[in-house]
Amino acid sequence: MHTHNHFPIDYYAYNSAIRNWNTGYKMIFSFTAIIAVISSDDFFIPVYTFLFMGFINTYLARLSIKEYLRAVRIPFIFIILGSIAIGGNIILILNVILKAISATSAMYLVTLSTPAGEIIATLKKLHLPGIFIELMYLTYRYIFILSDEVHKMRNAGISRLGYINYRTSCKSFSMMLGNLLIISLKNSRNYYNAMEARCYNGSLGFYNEKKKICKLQVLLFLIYLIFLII
Amino acid sequence: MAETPGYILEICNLYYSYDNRNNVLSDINLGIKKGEKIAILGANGAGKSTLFLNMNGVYNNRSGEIFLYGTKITRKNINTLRQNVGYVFQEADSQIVGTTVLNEVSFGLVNLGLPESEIQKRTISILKEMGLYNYKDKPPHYLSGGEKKRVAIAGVIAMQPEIILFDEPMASLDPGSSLMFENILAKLENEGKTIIISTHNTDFAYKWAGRIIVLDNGSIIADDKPVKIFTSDEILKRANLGKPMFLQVYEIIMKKYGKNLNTYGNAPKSINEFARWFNGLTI
Repeated sequence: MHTHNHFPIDYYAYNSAIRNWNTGYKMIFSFTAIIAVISSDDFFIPVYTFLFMGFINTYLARLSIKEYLRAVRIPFIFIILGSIAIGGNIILILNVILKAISATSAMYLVTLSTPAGEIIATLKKLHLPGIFIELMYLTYRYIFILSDEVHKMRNAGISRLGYINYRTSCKSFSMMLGNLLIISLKNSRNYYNAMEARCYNGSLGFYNEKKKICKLQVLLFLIYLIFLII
Repeated sequence: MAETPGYILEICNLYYSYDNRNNVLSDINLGIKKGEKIAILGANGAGKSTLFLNMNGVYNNRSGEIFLYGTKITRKNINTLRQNVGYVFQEADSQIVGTTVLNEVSFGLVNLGLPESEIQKRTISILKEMGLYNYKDKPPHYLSGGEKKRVAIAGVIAMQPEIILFDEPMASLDPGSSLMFENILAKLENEGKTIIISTHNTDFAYKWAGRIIVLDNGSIIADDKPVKIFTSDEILKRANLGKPMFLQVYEIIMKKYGKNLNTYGNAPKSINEFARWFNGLTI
């Protein structure tokens, strides 16, 4: 079977142990946590949220801590550097960093455990305008089609010494981009024909299996809320 | 030309052009009966894909007429054509829209506006039939070529079309997947489906098809039984086609033993048939 790791977050999302949790539940949970963190003043809530989410994201989702850190390191580094750049006294900086990191970890509850398609389907249920839904679905599919093409073109270029020095690499890269545009245009025509062939009528939708909310999930949310209020 | 009874799909005087100047398809006349196994041969650019896209209703601005079950197809009822004529594209990636196998297979059914219980029933049943049930939550970009092809096919037959068009289905399949595909074809035939395949593979066409249509430069230059087509050097040359291997072997052997080639009645089409025929040959 064919599993060349396209993009880590996408891979973790499809293989997460909490993938089968109801997506709406995850989004509500995550959103509540983010609001709580942003509107909090003290030190306790962000730290508590970060640890709680960390627990869910690693232990319950069966993701190793190493993989979790790998997935979050870019935003975290960005947050730290950005907060330092904001300046002000050290307490303020730490406060900002803490809030941002814990809010991000709450967001990861959804993004690391839910495949993009399911997130989009839930947004559709929330009556996000159809045009956005379509754009999201198609963009998501296209990312992988294009990344495969890029992979092939890069290999073809490397085999013909297209990346032996900086100048040549720049040229090859720009040719590849141009080619990608043409391929996309051609492909999109076929794609549209394929959709029409299956009676596409202007609104893009799929059937998704329903997911129940089980007691554990409700319990988890309640536990989180209880300690939050205290 | 009025519609002829007995044909489930009939095409009359079809002309098609992309730019209103040059005709990609010229004067196509074609009648298809239920259960036929048709192979469409022709060089690249002969117009096979364009013909298919006219047959399944994606292209609707043709000159000429198409009749489905005797009813003329117009802009109003184009959806019945799309629903009854399924089209499996050459590249699975050009066709797969969904983010998981389950999503993808349900796409056509959702578009048809079927009730959710029916969608669920049909989708799960198709997945099981094609051996894809264990893949139902997997995203297409983590599947191999053969698996993607199976998903593309499942997505089309979930809509239960009467006629299924395959555009060069085995072009990018490895031998194992090719075999799997031939099994799928056999299953569809058992269900009484009408199948039309466009291919370059004359050996496969010779083995499988009951009727061969040869397209050259947008026109049909031949429409007959496989043996008649493949023994006509003129047609083969004009359409740039190779003679099927088993036919060539048959001719060589028959000639060597001074036998009469007239009927080709027992000419073998596959290795098993060849073994039976050759072993039973009396010199």
